[in-house]
Amino acid sequence: MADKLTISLTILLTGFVVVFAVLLLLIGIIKLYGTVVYRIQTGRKEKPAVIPTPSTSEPTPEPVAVVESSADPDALIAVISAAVYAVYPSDQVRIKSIRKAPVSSNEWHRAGLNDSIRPF
Amino acid sequence: MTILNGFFDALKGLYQSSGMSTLVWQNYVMIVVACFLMYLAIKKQYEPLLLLPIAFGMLLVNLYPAIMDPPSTNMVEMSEYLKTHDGPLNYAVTTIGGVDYVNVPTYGGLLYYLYQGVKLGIYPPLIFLGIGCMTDFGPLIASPKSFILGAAAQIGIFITFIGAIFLGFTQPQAGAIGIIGGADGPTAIYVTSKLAPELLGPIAVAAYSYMALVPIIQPPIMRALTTKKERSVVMEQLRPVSKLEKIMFPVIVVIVVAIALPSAAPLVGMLMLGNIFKESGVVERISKTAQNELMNIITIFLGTTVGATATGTVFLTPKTLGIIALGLFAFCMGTAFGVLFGKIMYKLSGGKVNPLIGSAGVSAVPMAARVANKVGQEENPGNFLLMHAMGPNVAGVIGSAVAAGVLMSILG
Repeated sequence: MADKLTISLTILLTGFVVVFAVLLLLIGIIKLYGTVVYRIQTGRKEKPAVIPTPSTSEPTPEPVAVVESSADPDALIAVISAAVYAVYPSDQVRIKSIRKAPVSSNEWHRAGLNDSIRPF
Repeated sequence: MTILNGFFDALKGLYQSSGMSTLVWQNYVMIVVACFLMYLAIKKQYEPLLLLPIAFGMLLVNLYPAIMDPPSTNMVEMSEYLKTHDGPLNYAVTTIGGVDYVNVPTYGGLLYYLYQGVKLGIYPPLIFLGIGCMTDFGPLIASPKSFILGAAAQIGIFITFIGAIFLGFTQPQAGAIGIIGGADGPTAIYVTSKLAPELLGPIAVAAYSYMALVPIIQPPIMRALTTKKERSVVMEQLRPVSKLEKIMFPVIVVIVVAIALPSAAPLVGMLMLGNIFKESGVVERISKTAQNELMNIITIFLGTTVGATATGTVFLTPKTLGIIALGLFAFCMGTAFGVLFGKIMYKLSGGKVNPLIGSAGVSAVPMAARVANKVGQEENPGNFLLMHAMGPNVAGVIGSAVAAGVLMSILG
């Protein structure tokens, strides 16, 4: 009985500690490299997104949605800028940065999720 | 008259070699069990990709047990041998008591040879290779804390080990039974083939049956351990994960796991090899082969030969009932601990983590994640937890491989 109890507790303790230790180590490493890679890549993408325009008397910063996409960033910025300036007068608007809007409420996003879980 | 005698002798010989005289009642019971499992696989579609070959292997071995016989050597008296064979003697001769015997080899059954892939631990890592090619670790990279839930769900393995020890199983057998709680078929088969090959049939059947029953077993536990408010939590969208991060992930995981726990390296190594095939994008042909043709071939061999270990005399014992009961206990404990750690994360995050995703830590990809999503939608139909649950789900695959490594290094 004592032997059974000893081996049981040894396995429980060792298993618990080793599994958590290995996975916690992975959490640390992944967080670290994830942050580094994400920052480097976000920095690269955001740099060309700053488009200096001639300042106007009353610049109105326009919070505009934006995208992190694998598409050509210059082309994307050109398309978004054209759309913004088509709606707002160019002398009243200055694009400072472009960021992706949350899409959790997007109907297309929802439709995609519905489609992917339909078999269940 | 001589012809008639010869005819009756031939019929007698045929009868004596047929199943009607060689099979025992246990074989007939197993034939019924095999047919029932085939019904579940075909009609109910319970893990049919593995349950069907397992059930058919079970059927075959109980109809014709010699299909799993190992090769052996028959010692035939030299004079008898020479009566029926001409030419030079190709086999070794042993002399016992002044009489020469020819060592005539007999070949093993078909499934015996295919079974070597299980016995030598070859098939499960190859299945992991294919799984790696099909797995997207993006949700886990975006939310590495999911690893905690993947680890928590493995506690059931070690608690079940204790139960098995006190029910009279040996230490290696208890380890093999506990791993059912990992809800990972290839890992369960791999560990059992190393620790307790004599239990392979019952453990494989229990593991795959419970994996198929995830949508029935898990929801009551999830509802019992969480409040309506906790189940209704809508989690923030995961951040996008770059290709570089996805490529680095398998390399980093295999380095950490193989150095920390070498016995888990075959499983985790193959899983990550498959994943880097997928994520690198430069070996699409290999990736497609690994996740389709290779995986299908291995699945056929693995399922059929594992089923063929379930002969009547091995399967129909009180131990099998104990294994099935302990397997269910392991599964429930894994789910419960996943959810309980999910609740801890809910508290620590200020209510941002839905504890239901903890239940997906018991591998069973992607069914467990779908169950978490479904139970969450019962409270809020607009709540999509699927991608959040995929993080703990794939973390559970790595966690169960690590737990397997712990068991094999201590008990192996």
